[in-house]
Amino acid sequence: MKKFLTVLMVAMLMFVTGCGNNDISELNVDETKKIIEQDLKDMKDVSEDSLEDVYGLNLDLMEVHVIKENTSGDLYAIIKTTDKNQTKKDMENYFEKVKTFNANYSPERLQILEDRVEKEIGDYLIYIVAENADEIYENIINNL
Amino acid sequence: MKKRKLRKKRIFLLCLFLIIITMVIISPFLFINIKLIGNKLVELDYGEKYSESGYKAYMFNKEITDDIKTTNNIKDEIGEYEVVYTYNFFIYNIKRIRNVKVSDLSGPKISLKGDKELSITIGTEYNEPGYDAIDELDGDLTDKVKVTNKVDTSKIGDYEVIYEVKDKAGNKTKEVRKVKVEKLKPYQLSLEEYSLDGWYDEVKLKETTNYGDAYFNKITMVGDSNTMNMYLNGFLTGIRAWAIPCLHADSMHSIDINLYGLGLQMKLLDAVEKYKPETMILNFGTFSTEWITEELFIEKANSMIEEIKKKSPDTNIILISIYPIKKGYNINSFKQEKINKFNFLILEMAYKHNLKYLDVQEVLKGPDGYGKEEYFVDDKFHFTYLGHSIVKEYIKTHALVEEE
Repeated sequence: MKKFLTVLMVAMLMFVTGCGNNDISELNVDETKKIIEQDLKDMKDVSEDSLEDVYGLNLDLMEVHVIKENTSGDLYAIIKTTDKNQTKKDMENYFEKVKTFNANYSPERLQILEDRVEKEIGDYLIYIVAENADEIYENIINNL
Repeated sequence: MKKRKLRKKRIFLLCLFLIIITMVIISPFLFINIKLIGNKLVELDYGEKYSESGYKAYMFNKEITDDIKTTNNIKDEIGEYEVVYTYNFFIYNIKRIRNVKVSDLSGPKISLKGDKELSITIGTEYNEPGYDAIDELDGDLTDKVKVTNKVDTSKIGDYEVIYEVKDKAGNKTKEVRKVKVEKLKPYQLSLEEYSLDGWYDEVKLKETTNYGDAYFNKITMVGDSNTMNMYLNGFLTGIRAWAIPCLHADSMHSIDINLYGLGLQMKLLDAVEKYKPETMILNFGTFSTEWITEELFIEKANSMIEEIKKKSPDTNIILISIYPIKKGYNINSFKQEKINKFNFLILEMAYKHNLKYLDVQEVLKGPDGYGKEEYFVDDKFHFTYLGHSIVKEYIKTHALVEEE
């Protein structure tokens, strides 16, 4: 009887553990790029020289960085960094400079930049500047 | 024996009953699964806004994400907070929590007043332009900034002034101002000592063999009354004299100038676009030194160069120095000191735009730093016939050619 009860309790424990809340903090960068680029067309990499010299990003902190833009002003970034706090500040400055360098942005475009998506998934920072940025982020998390 | 069996059976049934009751109670917790996207602990810098990374929820295999309610108690203050994700199922409140920690992760911001890169002249004092340091939490920390200044103004070289400060949380910030100690600028010297030698020599047209009229006749000269007189005195022919009296860097953007030989008047940029000169010697005019400010001169002269390049990319643009004046009173109050400074600015512009510079002023001056008596008429700034000849000769012997 005792044996039976013990087995039953262990089974229940395993059952409970097995049904636990497994969080999602892993991001497949290639998959995420594909999802984003289903909506944002003709995205081109911003050159590393520009990122460092013009926009002042410290790429040494970034283990992974994908920063792409198109001529319509859409932009996205997927960054894995060793210093999230610093990289977040760098990216704030980055967007300030984007604003400065594009003084001819229409008020609507400027608003899109202001309303950009800024999210963290695990070790990754994600930025999306696009008219449907929120939708694109939804697509990303729906595919996780 | 029977009694014992009966007792065992009762205990078994009791256990089974308890297990079933337990399962009923805890099953919602087992089969409702709220998954957090992103980290369970989110660390925010003070002042940084919380941004929800997302979540997904399932009951068995059915997605119930839209039925999740989220609440949080996050404030714009240092502290630890929670985002609570709740699903209401009959009498149950199934919850998941994401912890949010707001702490001071950033150092104070040091703002340097004045330029971050400064040039000062050897032997002068370094005057600190000032700075301030503000921390979002600790407020004004300007008084706490440690400044390390190793600038030695007695020696030419590159130096740094370092500004460091840390806030109560121990976050450090460092800013650097670069200071270049340079030799005296030519216009800081006396008129007698003024010389552009040693400054941007690579853009100056150097002495060449005399390339004669074959070279000179290909050049279009743009300028004020001295250029006009050059044409009227027969030194320039055809359409190669584009001039009008009193021309300066601002007016050359808007007024019609004379295209001598063609009997036409048009705006300089229109003429450039239409005729696309092979080589153009551009004189910004002596009036630039008196009728407009130095700032406006720099702005307008730079924009004129850029516009000419756009209108006629293949034109070789040569910037020529503003001609000196003869010593003594002149009706326009031209001053040789200002002309000297503007010529240095023009030389800098040539360097910046990768153009050539014709330093003709050097041969037009006497030992006193003013224009030579014999090259200028009585009004002190218009050339004599000899003055025109000297300018023409200088152009021919400082040709824009590739020499072995």
